[in-house]
Amino acid sequence: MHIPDGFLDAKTAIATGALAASGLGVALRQARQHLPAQRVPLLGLAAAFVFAAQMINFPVLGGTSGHLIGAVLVGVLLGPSVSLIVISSVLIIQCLMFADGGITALGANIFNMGILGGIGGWAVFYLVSRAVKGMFGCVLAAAFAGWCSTVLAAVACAGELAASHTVVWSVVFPAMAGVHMFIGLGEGLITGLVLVAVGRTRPELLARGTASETSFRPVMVYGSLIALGIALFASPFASQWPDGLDKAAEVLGFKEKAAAPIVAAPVPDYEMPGIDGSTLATSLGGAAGTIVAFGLAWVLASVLVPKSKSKMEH
Amino acid sequence: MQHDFLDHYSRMQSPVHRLPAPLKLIAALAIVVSLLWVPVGEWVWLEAAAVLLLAVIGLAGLPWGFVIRRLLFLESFVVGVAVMALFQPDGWRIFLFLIGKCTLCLMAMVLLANTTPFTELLRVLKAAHVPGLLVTTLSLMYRYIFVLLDEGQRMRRARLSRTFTRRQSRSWRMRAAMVGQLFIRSSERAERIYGAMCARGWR
Amino acid sequence: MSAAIEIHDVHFRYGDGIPALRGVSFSVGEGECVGLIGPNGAGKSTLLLHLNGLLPHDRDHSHHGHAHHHARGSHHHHDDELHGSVSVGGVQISPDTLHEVRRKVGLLFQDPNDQLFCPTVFEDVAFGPQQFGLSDAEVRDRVTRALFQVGLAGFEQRAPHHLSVGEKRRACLASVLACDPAILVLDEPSSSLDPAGRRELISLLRAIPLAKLIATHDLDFVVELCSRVVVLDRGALVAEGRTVDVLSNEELMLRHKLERPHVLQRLHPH
Repeated sequence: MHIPDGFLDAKTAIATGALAASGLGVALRQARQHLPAQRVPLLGLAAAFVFAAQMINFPVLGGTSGHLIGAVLVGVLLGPSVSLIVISSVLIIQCLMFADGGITALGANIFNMGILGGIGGWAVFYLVSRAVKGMFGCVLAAAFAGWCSTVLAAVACAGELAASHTVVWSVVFPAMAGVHMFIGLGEGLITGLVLVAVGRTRPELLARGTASETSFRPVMVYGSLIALGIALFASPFASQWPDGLDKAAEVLGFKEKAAAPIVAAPVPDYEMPGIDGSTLATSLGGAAGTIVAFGLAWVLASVLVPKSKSKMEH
Repeated sequence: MQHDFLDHYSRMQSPVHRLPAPLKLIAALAIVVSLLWVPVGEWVWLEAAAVLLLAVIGLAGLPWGFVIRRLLFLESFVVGVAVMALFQPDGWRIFLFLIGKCTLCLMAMVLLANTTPFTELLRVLKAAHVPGLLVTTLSLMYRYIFVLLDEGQRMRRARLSRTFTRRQSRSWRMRAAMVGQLFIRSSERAERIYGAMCARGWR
Repeated sequence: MSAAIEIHDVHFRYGDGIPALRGVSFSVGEGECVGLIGPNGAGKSTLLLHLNGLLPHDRDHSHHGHAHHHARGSHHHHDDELHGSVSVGGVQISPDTLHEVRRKVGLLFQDPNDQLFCPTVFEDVAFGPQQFGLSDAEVRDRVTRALFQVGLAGFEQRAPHHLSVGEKRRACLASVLACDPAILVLDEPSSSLDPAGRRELISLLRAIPLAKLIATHDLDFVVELCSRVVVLDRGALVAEGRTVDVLSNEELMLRHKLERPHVLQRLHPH
């Protein structure tokens, strides 16, 4: 899901860059203040780990294979701020060393996968694991959060592409969201499996991670960044308000008149052929998908964590 | 180490390789940003950029096979997204232009990545006052990617040598176990590195 | 002449109750090369970590990951206990003298990958001097000298992952020498080295006049370099003396799961 150069226009790149920089700045400050010196090398090693883990193939029927993104995994094991720093580092190196992900899209990629996917996903994990206790709850929460992080990142990506007027929302949103609702299942599954594997060999690593920082201020900042991002990139389309970002860009002088290749005026009916009342259909589809994903995560957790054992822990 | 290839071409010798890293970074950024601003249909600019980039690639001595393979691999994402641009008025024109623009941006970044060792880019970041913790993380990540990839490969070989059937039934669990192991080893190695840093006076 | 290292009645127990060192006492004189041998799990590595003040941890509730030495799982070092004293160059190790001691003790870890943590050889070798607050020019000077001393002149801009095992070991040695230590402490320096690399290391170490303490399984290595030898088994010091005397004592060697090295078998044909 690394967005290459050329798909995002200047205003989107700058807006997402600002969001990413703010989030990363907060995460770095958090880490500087609260991370014991002993854990500093762990940031770099965790980043190398994510990179290496992303290269492992998980074969899916007939030749294709899935891969782990790992934002939620790192978040569960090391905490949300650390996970943002780690994912950002991975994205930076992938961009500068491998041209994987555009340099102008770095902000967007960090926002999508690191802040929205990583920290947003971690928030889902936090809430669900507080509601459902024990190892069972942990695996359930992590698997579901993994799925959520993939879908959230995909939706934001779709929003950014549409906001850049590269593609229309009514095409890119169903495509991205739909595909990633499936891909997300893989992420959730792998995240759950890996957590169980770690918990089996070194349970204290798991305990250390799930008890990590949840102090109020950074949560506020991350939350507002996420909300802002969603407001900028998802809601204008869902509610058909005039594109607030475009307006701001015009005012600030960023809007390139000639560069916008495309849709001269906002298309009144954001409808994919075959779907009527698109907003309702989309919401229903999204809700159904989320419930199914949660159910699958529940099944996974029941398989991996035998009920009798989960009662003995915590 | 087999993973040398990940970092191989950036350390070759050529007039381009010898240019200072900040210059190359800014040049790549400038090319990408200016390509972003090219309006649809103005192919002239794309052609000019193409000529420039191809010339620099040739000057840098990068093997064409490598460059093409790299571009093809990255291209698949570009095409995947660009296809969605077809579904709008004037779609074909936009689609083709998008592909052209993105490919050139990719070329610029591939050029940067393969003529500049990452260690030099790190120095640029440090000089640009990027926060120290981030630079340290990037630095350690770069250093240990190869070590971890090696460990992963050894684990994979060990697993393969004990796999006697073609059935994939437990394969996801095994791979997840490998990923878990990799994390645990990384965690332990981080502690040892901390020890090594302290042993040389780090505070 | 104060000993380079003086270890006096050191008892150490990990937080989970396992005694790792039981009353170990010995010393290493200036310029002397002493070998530290013993079976696996004898406590050699634990002892070495004490020499640099890396153990015990200061109240840090974290796991000390030496899994490659411990076959049993993890240790929680909540309350590692240390009794006895360790002095380096006449200075006893305590929380106050920690940094001074680390300057004096050049510890070479078993896995060079753990010790070479910077993206280039130059930065790794420069790390120590930089931490000590030297100027850029002094740092560069030290790096050049250290690299020259280990035969890696010109390797400054190489990345560690491009080096062979032998070159990595020598880079580690250079990074330690650049700190200008009073004593070298080496943990399994000859492991993974091919015969040529091993010979190179031996001649390299011979040329360095510093006091040396070498923990190793490589008994031939010990014969070549060490004038004295200390035998550790299950945390206790069970023998000490001239290398040839101790290592020729077949009964002693076998009792502590070691053996008489072949080199000596040739010198003392029975």
